Amino acid sequence: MTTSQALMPKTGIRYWPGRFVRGIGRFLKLMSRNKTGFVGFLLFIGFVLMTTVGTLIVPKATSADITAIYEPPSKTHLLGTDSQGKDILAQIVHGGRDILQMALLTGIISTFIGVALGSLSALIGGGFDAFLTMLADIWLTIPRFPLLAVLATLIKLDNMLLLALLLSVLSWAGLYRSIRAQVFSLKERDYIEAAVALDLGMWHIIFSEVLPNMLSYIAISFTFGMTSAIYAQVGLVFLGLVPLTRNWGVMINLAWTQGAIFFKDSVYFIMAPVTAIALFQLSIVWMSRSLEEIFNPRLRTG
Amino acid sequence: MSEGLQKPQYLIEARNLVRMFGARRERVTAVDGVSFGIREGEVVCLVGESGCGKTTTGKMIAGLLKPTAGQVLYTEKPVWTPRGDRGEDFKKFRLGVQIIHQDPYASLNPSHTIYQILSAPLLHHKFAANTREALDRVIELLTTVGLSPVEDFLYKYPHQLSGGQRQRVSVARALTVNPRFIVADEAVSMVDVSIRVGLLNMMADLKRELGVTYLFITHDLAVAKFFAWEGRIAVMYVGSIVEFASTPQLINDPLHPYSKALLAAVPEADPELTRSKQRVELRSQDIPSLLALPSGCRFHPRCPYFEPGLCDVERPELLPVGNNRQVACHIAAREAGAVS
Amino acid sequence: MENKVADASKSKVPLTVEDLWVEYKIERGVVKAVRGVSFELARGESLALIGESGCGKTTLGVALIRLLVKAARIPKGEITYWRGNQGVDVLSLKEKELRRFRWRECAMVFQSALNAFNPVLRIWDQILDTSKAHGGMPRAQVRERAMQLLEYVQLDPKRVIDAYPHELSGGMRQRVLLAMSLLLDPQVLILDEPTTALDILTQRTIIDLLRRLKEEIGFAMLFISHDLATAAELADRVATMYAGSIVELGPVADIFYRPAHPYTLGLIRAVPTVTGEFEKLISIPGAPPDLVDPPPGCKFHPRCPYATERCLTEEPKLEVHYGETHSVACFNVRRVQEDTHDLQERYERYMGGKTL
Repeated sequence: MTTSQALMPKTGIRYWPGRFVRGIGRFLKLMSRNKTGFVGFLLFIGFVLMTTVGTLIVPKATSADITAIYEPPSKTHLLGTDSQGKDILAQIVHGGRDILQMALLTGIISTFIGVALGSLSALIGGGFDAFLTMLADIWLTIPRFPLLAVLATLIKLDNMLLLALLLSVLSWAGLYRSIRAQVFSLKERDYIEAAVALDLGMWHIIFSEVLPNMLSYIAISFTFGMTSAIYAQVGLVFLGLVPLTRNWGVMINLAWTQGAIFFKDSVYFIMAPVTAIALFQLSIVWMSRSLEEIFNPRLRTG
Repeated sequence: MSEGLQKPQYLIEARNLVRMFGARRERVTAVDGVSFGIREGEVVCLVGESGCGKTTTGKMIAGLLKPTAGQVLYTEKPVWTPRGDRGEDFKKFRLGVQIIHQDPYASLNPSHTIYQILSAPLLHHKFAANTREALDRVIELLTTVGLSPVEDFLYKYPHQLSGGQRQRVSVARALTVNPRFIVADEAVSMVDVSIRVGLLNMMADLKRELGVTYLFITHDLAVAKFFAWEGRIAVMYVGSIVEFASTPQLINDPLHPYSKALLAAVPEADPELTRSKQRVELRSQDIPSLLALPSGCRFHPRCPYFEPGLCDVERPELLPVGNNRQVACHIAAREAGAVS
Repeated sequence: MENKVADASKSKVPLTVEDLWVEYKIERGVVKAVRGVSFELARGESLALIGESGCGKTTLGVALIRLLVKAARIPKGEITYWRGNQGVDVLSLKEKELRRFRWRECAMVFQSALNAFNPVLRIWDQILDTSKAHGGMPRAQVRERAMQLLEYVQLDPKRVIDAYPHELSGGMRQRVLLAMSLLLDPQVLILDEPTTALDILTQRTIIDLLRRLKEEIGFAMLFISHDLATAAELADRVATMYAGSIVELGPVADIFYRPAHPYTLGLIRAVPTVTGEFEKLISIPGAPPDLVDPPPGCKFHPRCPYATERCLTEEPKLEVHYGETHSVACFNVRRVQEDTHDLQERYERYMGGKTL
């Protein structure tokens, strides 16, 4: 008994601060294995900090200043000013939160739908699987963005959760198909068969045997969910179909409608949000490389 | 169980098992009418070449594949209902019959530690009331399968173990639910020679100490002979059993031409023995495709004893010949029948 | 009978290997896969290299034709190929000469017969490509030679030559590979696990074929196998490899009936025969060593029942033991021998059968 006590798995409250710090350390170490991935990760953290802590430091650009329209970057306006003389940097800092929140929310919801339906479909099989697969095939033929645009005119999309839900539902089919294929291949593994023979139950098989081996895959699906959500949202905002608060999409829209592309001086106004979106997307795509490694069980040690 | 009841004759029985795969024109019969019974405490080896249906048979015995036709009986009760649903005693069967797979690199979940792998079934089926009890049992199991000192293994991940050690963990995992019957599907064939004997001896010890009954599936006659010396060997060819006999009988005096050919062809780790073997010349080297099976006896296009008009017309049944052995061959049955 | 062919040509040694080392880098460090291996391969003989996975036998085979992976390097050693009396230093061959060397002088048949083929090309196209890449004969001549060779390996040339790889069975593919390796008349043939993954009856045809090739063509054959039975069948000499080194090298009867290295003895005691008597088997304890961080002294000492103080610190060298042909790397040969008396009778029976 005493020897077995010494061998108990080390869990419990007593250990948690140490474990937490060590966990973070190991996480960073694993993240930094892939250089590109780590750069993406840092960039991503930068964006998160900018849109959260940053908003507390940089004041909102509320007052228009007609004397300082389309100013090039200077000490007072690091990214210059817009058509109303407002500071562009301040708008970038404050206009990111919507986009980020939306992207995260959509990523989470669409991954959840894809993983739940995909794994159930593969594990249950039969008619259920055939029906969902057919539905997904039909769904994939629907042009998503135009449908979204039409829906946006019919439904009032002023609620972020509603918009995220809509985007997720529209994009379920692709993720469903890839998760289903993945579970199908995992299902054939001997250890799943052993779990069936040990009668460990469907719940255990999904959450304990299948999902942990798909984490890297799920993480990547999640990042793809995020990137496509950003494009869809910015597109809608740009078309003026979604009346959200002033964000990067709105900035592009404004720059566009106010003829920014015709003025040489206004290049900062339109390029700043475009660059922000592109950089953010890039950070996600790069970060996914590290995520792939972090969830690879072969890199774990006991 | 009451005193008056007789002990079941067979622990596991296969009755005319058939399994088909694929649909329509691509439909193949991987297992075509396999019947045998295994008594408690016995070791039966299923030997045959790749594609002969031995693994499919093993999976049906373990309840991991539903037979297309036929029935599996566990303690003399049918495992499947006539409609193909799970029978009444399925739960007992499910835990009573476990399987050990061939590939030590695929049979353990890479994201779990050895402790997690072994404790999950213990906790799920309440063989252990809490994690403390589960740990005690896990330690016991690891010691049983010869993985000691246990602290070197408990919190390791499978990829940190060697092939032989992983197979031992697989055996321990099967033992968590106290099975009475284990299907070992090529359990040692991917393990290095120097480790193999240790693994086989450990599994043989389980038979002695825990009374486990085995169906041992292998393509390796030498391993079959070693493991089932006191048991029986069934030789499979293209979906059916062609000969079933006690191990010494089968090895020393095979009756079926296919068994004879195998024993004559198998290379031996002894230069004198292997170079002085009498060959059995086959009429053809081609293994028949499951999509175009030969008529009559499946072996007749290759068989040196082929009799036209008999072997290519009538399919031989697996018939008892002499003392506790069966053979599916017109000619062997005739000769053995004349003797007995 | 079989000795006549061999004796006439045995004077020539086409391949010598001298103190060869191969190592490669992995994340954890440097794997010393081959450590100071020396042997020679004579014309008309077959040498079996046996050992378990990870003992370096495949690395050694691949190193001989310099097909090592990028991460590998050869820090030390010599491989000499003899064209008549003229030695060719294989390790300093340039890319172009190397190509010629690989097929015309020293051909290798790899383990996975399926992966060796391009799935979308017919067998004939693959044969033609091989011939083109190595200084072509005229097309018609290649075709004729290919047909001859396919027939020689007991295939139906007309059926096989226009087939796609997937249309052939494993045994047939193995035979096609053999035929292809003979296309350019090599002097040395290296076979990596030639019968692994084949069914017993197919194994038998390949073994019989290899034996016939050796007797009739008389080239030098080196085959790499984890399977003792293949060695017992085909080898004239056997080399046992452990942890990157040859620990015992000798005629096949010596290795099987009077092994002098504890590891060889362990292997023989651990492998059952089918039609022989039923014997109790003894397993070798422990597991093969980690080649990044091998134990000091003799690499086998942690698993060896004969190990003494000396084995812990000093690594024994491969030294001549019985006569000139049987060498072994062990300090405790005497004690190992005492445990092999039961095999002696079989040695005499085998040798007696040989001379008759």
